[in-house]
Amino acid sequence: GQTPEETTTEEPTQGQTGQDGPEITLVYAEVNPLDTIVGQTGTVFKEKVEELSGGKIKIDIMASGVLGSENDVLDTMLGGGGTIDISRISAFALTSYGGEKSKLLSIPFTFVNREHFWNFATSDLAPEFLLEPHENGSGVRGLFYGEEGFRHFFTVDEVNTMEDLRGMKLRVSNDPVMNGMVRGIGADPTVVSFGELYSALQTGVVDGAEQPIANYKSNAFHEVAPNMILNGHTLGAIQVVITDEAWDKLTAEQQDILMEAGRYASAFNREISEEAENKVLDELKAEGINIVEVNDITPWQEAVKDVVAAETTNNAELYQRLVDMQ
Amino acid sequence: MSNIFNTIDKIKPAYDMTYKIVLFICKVLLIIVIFITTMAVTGRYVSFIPDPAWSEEVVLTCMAFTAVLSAALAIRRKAHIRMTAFDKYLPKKLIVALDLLADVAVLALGVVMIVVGWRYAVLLGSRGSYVSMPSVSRFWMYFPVPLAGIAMVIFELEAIYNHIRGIFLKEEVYNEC
Amino acid sequence: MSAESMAILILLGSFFVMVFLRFPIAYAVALSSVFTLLYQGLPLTTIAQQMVRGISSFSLMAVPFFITMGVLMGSGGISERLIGLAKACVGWMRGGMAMVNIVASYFFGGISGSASADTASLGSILIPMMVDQGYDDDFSTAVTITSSVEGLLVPPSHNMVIYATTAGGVSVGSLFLAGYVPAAILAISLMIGSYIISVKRNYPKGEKFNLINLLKQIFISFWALAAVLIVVVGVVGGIFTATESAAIAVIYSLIVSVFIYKGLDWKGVWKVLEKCIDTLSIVLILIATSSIFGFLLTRLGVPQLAANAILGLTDNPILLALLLNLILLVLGTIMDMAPIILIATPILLPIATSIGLHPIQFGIMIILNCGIGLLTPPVGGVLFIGSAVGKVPMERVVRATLPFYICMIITLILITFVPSISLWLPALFR
Ligand code: NA
Ligand code: NA
Repeated sequence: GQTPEETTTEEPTQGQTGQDGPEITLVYAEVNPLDTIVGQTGTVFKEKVEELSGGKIKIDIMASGVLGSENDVLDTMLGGGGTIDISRISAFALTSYGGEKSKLLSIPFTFVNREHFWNFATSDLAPEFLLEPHENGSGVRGLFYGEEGFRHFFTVDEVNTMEDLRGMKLRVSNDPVMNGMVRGIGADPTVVSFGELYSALQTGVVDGAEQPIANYKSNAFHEVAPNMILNGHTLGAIQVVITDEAWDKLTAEQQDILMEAGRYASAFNREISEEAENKVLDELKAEGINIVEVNDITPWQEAVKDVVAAETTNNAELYQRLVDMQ
Repeated sequence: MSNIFNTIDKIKPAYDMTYKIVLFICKVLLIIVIFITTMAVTGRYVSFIPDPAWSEEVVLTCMAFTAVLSAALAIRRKAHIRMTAFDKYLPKKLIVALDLLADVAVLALGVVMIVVGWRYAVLLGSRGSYVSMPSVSRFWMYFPVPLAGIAMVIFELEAIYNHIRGIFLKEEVYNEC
Repeated sequence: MSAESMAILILLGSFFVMVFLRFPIAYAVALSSVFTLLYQGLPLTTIAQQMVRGISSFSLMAVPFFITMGVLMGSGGISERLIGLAKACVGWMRGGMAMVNIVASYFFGGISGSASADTASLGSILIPMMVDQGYDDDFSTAVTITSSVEGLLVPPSHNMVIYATTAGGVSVGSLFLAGYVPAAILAISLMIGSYIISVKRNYPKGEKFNLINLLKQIFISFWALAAVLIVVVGVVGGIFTATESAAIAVIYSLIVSVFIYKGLDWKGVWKVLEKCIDTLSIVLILIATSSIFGFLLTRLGVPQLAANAILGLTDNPILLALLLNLILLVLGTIMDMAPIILIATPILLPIATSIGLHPIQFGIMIILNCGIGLLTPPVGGVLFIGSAVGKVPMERVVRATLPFYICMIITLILITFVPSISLWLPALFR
């Protein structure tokens, strides 16, 4: 406790920096290891929060998915277990929790380049998207956006054009958007759990799958599927969410600290993401991985037109605003 | 005293019936799970057999139901793995007392599972759906937990009753299976 | 004492007390988690969430599938024929069936990549076969569960993928290659152990080897052997994944039992399903509730605490190497493999490399240590499955496994101090 003498000491900045709030530790779940783009983004967020709060708010990052998959973690947070306060998720993960707006971020070929995504992430539309789960009554809210690069298909056999993917068994997550997209390009979406994917590629149960470049390498998929076609069907948009419960426990100053650290981490993510990805791409090329550039994206866009239309009808106007932000 | 027990004993056929019904459900679920998995595999190679995106999530939910329902059956069969290494060194009365204690504790756990499991399933159900089936509420993913609680409570009540009956009638707790 | 360590004490303490008070282990893990959450002032919904999460892993489905397959094979006439074949093959050797079990795990467990699936599949076929031929049930179960650890080391192995990606910069391909020899050494040490015990317990020895009889038995058991072939060819040939192969094996056993061997009719199939449910009723709930326990151990940072405990204790490389094994073994007694690998690797790998252990060699060490942990009480998934499948009380399995723990520790020490066991093969192919 503070003695009366201490309270009279003039320290005007203290109140505003949140350093006199209650000491608090927030558990932060991260599915990937700390050395990935998203792991580093989380670390920077943690360091900034702890710096700004003078160590009063501690962030305990539990990485590598030890607290469960994205859906496990979201179920834990939305169910009010109090065991996980913050987590980094892919923006799309909120779709099965009524996240109609965040779903738009992973509609195939929405973002033409990174710049386009960051135009959105720094616009006034972003806070509206981030607050969607809170307004839906899901009990979580977004703090900031980031990205882990465009997602591309990779295959066991060489693939040079979209035509080459036709008839291939491609492993994608089991949601309607991704399944619709794979069907659109004439391939077969195949259900294989992520844990069995490496073996499934090795033995040939599936012919290919899709991941951002960095994850492709960090999961060692390039060892068994050494062909990647840079079609960039979706941008791996990520966001960091916090439970309303944890948010409400914070003082207004502490909330500001989280938001400021979020802006900082978001900017950091923007800075390293492309750089880290290019580095990985060079490493892959040096290892002899066959990387195919896609010069004309129109046939791909044409192929998935229907699924894009079907998945965006509910929010057509909003989706158009996203598309127009390039 | 034995009159009371004789009256309550009349409920035993109802228990036998419950056991059979739960067993029936477990068997059906196991068949469904094997069937769906096989269908998904063959569907990859045979065009007219479906290979639906929901196969994995449905299989897992069915298996969760099988797990919790069959576990309640194991309570009745006294089949759950427990440490019995020191049984031969312990007096018989103490073992009965410990069994009773364990059964009461599991009954309490069953009640906890009903209460928090239901609350959780309803909350998550109102907030989310299956990834592969946007129209199916996540409630069904977590409903096995309160259901398990109910099944546990039902069979634990019988086990506890049998202990008490055994103590009062000074006879071995009869083995009902 | 900090609130955190008090919570750990409550979790582990109340669990051990309840285990000794003869509580069913499946419910003791759940109850101790309830107490811990109450102490921490957290809502109990975590119980519901984690129970479902524990059971919601598709690779885990191999366990119920293989148990069903085993029951069908046992009742439908497939096992009978395999027994005849096994007798003709190794009946002349004392402990021959134990050898079959150990060798089968090298290949079959190698394919499934999961010790649980291996115990569920081979255990539900081989334990009844061994008992039928005069082996004790506890010995048969002990051989089955210990040899299942080979499957973690023979590629493909999901846990090796987890280690490689966690360690960073370790090639999965090299790690896979590294596993063959250590798994073979483990198999040999288990075989030696089994042989000694078989001689001691005076297990039967049949007639002399007869090639004509062997050929006859191969002919008789053609459809039974085809079951194994279908799984192996299907998985290696990329027709289905290891988990899916288990469901295919069920359907195949069903067809052979009902239509070819006619050991079962449809009514009989419905009836024997009860045996499957009996076994599953014990196994699945343990998997579900252990997941709550594991989640709390993880969230309370127990693996970090344990791993950090050996930091700065000594500079002696030999002692440090032994300590690394010790800490992994201790963690293995209460936790599952994947979380240990994920959490302990980043802390322990730098120590390991500082004393000259190669990351690939350390990976093999972690896998074997955690593999042994799957066979130990109080929380050991494979031990529980073995006990349920073999219908032998857990303590008897543990007692029968004691000599095999020694075989495994000897293997572990060899792997720790002879790097070339792990590194020779990957170097050859580089
Ligand atoms: Na394996
Ligand atoms: Na074995």
